[in-house]
Amino acid sequence: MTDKFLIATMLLSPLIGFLINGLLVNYNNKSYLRSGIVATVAAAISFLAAATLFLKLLGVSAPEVVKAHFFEWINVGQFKANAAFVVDHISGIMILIITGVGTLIHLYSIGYMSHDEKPAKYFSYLNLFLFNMLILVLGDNLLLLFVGWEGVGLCSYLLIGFWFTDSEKAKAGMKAFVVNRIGDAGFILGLFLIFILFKTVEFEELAKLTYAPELGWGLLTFATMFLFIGATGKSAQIPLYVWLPDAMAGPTPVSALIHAATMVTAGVYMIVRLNFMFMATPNTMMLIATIGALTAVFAASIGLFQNDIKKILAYSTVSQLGYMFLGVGVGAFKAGMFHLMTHAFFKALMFLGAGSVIHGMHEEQDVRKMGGLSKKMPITYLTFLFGWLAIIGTPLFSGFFSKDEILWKTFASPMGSKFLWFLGVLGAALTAFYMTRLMALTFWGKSRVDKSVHVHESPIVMTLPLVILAVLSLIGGWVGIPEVIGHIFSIPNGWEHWLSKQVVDAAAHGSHLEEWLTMATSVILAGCSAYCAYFIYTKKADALEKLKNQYGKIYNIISNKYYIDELYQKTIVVPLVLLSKWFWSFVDVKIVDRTTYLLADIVRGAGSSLRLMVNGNVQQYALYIVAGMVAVLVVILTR
Amino acid sequence: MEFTTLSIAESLFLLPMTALFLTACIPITLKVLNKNIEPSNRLTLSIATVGIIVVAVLTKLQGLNPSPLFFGALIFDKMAQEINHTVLAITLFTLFLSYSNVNTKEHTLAEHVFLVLSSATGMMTLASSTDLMVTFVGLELMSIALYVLIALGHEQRFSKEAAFKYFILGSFASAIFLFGVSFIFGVSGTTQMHVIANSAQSLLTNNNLFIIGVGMIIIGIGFKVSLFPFHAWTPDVYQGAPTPVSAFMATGVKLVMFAAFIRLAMDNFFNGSTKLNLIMQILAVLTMFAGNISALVQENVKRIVAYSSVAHAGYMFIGIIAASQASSLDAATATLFYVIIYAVMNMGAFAVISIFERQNRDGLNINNYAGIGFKKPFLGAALSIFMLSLAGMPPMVGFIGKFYVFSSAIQEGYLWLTIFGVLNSLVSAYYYLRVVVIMYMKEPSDEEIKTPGAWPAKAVVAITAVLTIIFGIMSQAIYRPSEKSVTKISQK
Repeated sequence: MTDKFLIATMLLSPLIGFLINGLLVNYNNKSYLRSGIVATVAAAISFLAAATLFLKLLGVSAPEVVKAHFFEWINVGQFKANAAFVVDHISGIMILIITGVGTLIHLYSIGYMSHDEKPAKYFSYLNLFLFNMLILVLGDNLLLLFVGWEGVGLCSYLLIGFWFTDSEKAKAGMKAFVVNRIGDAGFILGLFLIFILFKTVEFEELAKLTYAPELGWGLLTFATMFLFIGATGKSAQIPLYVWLPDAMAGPTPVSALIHAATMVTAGVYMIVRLNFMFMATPNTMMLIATIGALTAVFAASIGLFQNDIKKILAYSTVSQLGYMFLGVGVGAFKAGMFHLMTHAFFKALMFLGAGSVIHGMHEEQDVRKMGGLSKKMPITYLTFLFGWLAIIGTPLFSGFFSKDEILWKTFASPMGSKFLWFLGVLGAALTAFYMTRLMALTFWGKSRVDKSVHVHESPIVMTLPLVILAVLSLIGGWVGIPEVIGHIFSIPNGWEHWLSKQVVDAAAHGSHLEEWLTMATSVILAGCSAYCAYFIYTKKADALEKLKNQYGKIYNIISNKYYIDELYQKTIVVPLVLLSKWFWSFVDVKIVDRTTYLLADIVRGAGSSLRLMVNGNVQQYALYIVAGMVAVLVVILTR
Repeated sequence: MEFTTLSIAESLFLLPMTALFLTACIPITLKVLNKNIEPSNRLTLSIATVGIIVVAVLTKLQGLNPSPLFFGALIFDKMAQEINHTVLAITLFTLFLSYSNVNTKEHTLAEHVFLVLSSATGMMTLASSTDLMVTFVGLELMSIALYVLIALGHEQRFSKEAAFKYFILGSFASAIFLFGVSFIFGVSGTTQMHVIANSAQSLLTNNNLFIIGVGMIIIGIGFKVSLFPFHAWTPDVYQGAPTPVSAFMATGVKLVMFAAFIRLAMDNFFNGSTKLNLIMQILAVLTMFAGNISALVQENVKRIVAYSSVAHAGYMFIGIIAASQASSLDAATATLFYVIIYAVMNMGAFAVISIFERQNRDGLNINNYAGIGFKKPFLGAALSIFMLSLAGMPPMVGFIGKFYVFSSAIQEGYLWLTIFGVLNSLVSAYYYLRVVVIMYMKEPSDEEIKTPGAWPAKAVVAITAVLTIIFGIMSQAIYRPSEKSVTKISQK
């Protein structure tokens, strides 16, 4: 099979699935099984093609990259962009995650959406998402990446607002879209700047260039800065993270696929893809690392006191994405990618687990009304346990290796600092706390479930993906065992080696002893923090109440998410609406109501017929024209 | 001026326009001959359709002539041909809409067809014009037919008022245009654009009267394409006019008036005066902001689209500015591309609006669209495509159009204009998406929506929707022809 055929299969299979479910199936058809199977098969075919391509890269006479050029898409002046797709060592990993995790989530959705009114629509959007996400990671130039970037945003928006009956959900979708557009504006400006600088937007061409490090504030710094603004929108970083928690309004598998495993990591992928360019702009890198570390701590702190199981996971995602940005920001691109992958496994697992809980509890999302579910939902519990162990950084689990790698690089890299490392460790401790709280409130302790709710374990289509992801959450990190541990058992760090062809990290300096010490610090802190949470939430619920009363103000601020939404509403949304109303009523309707009477004589000279009009608008409009003309003439005549 | 007689071969180039005008006369003549009883709507539409197709074929068959004919008044080059074909398509689509629209179909379709086709004749004249006086004639021919068309609406008050507004202000703008031409004639001694082109650059640097003339021409054309601050009529007139006529104006008028802008830009009319350039930039930025920000709080769908068309005039004007400085062919091509694809997607949007319109301007409030995405999946999906395309979402063609214009502006060094443009398209996303949200995410009312006999309009929707996507993916398909068609006449 030729490369082109494989790539085409991988891309088109979800698109065909989308077309079948989107066009051929009646919208009101409730046969979830049929549309589910169509969509899942489409995703699975895509996965097989992706796996084949990946094996090609792994093979003995491995090519550097597998390329497929389909057609010339844009060619205007000096600007060229082809519809061409590249599978290399970076995108190879991404396509495996996207199609692999994607297929599992499609499968899971068959069970999850079984009571839904419009399954065909749901599955068609899901397939369309896969298609766009693949375009995003495979595109061989920035513009094609942008097409996928916008496409996944659209699908995300459609899926967030999927249950349109709830106006809150529609609003959440709208919010996601508009916030993302802010990021997108940054992205497209960055793209234009890169084009001005280098006259190309193709990754291959860009990678060939040499970049002199730009220490001050030049165009390249602005370009990367703009691209990073795009990343903060899509990957939910400060200050544009606000849409992601609201996005939880969508169906839970969507949160797992789009808002945890794939789409939200697009910003990280983009930066890793352009690592050579970002390395040349230390100012941007510093900003990325700082924003990443701050987001990691900030979002984790909000997660401490949320009560909606999905919201906790959402803030956790924002926080974990912060770690990835911290990683790439200190020049540890490989570590960032590594965490991207392990996070995709354990966070998708936990979202799906949460979905299973919600499904089993009949649409209950409040953790205060759960408790003791470990006995009633054993598979969900055990798999969730794996996710929990991974995210809090238990040694041997995947999350441990990737998070540790990021923290160590932050400590040791010349672009990192001790302070950022401290923030990272603090974030890890907070993570251990809120995740343990989630476990304790949901699965451990006494049941607080309402008597009328009959809790049941989910069907096998839902638990099978959980099991697979649980295994991956354990072993997924073993491909990147750090050298400090690896050399004892002589296990090579495959991950570093794999990515080194396309990614160059900043060199980190540090002794083995320091590495052991930092590792121990974060593990011990996280462990203590987790134990505290376990103790408080299973044994000493009244101690918690005391604390709450004592620190009521802080608790209120945190549990209201620092009032950031309200702040944005007051400072941005409301003024914009007012301005719009002003423009409309003042400029277009009212402005001259008074002044017309003073100045109308000028216009009336044009003919008394104007007075026949019922309202005075014509005079006003004519006045604008006169005023505009006068203004133009004044500018022309005055030097 | 040399006095030579017109050869027959030269006269033949007028055949398409003449044929179009004759077609326009057929239904109305039939009506007069038949004791003032209208021919059936179907017959009228068939005659017009056949006529338009014949004219399109004639336009293709007559071939090209790269230098101006008729004593330097009209040119029949590739650009004119491309624009004429687009104008004809727009005209045909407009008639399809008129045939289906509740406010036009039961009412004097013969006159309607006459006026639309007359207006289209004016548009074809504009597309070929290389003489400012001929431009004026074409502009008036197009506009006078439009004044009547707007007033021809089924019910009285709105459309009469709109027609009156458009007439008064339009005449005003035409007068300013003519005034500007007189300045230019006074300074340069000719009204032929390709002749003026040779001296325009030096005149622009040192002759204020010439600059004033050009400024007034910009105002005159700017009124028709609704540039700020000459845009205030747009929402009122679009809302008041019968929807098919609004569609005709938003697509056809914009297309040919921007074609006139492109010809002027290629003939150095805007090249050389930094002040003029500054004014144009300010106009472009203010136009985008005025359109987009005003659109945010509108409740009437036609007003939303009207303000959106103001904003789009701003984007297109960026292209004109980029094209003017070094007479950049890339920028001119990008602008032409944008105007054409804007016509496609905007025609589609108006077609959907026209289908949902009910008697007496009912059904135009945005809340009437609640749940339409489920009641009418095809129309809902199509309107979503148009809205997202207008908002500039890839892979729809609206994105490509914006991208071409912005990247050409960047190549000419207008970074700030581009930043303003990108910011504006960011703001615009909100109101376009609002339509989609209401269609898909609001509880539909129980009221049943019937669209009887709307197949011609639905055909328009289907064609434009498919083109909106296809052109987005295969943008080279129309970019390449546009690229060949934009040339500098003066260099030949």
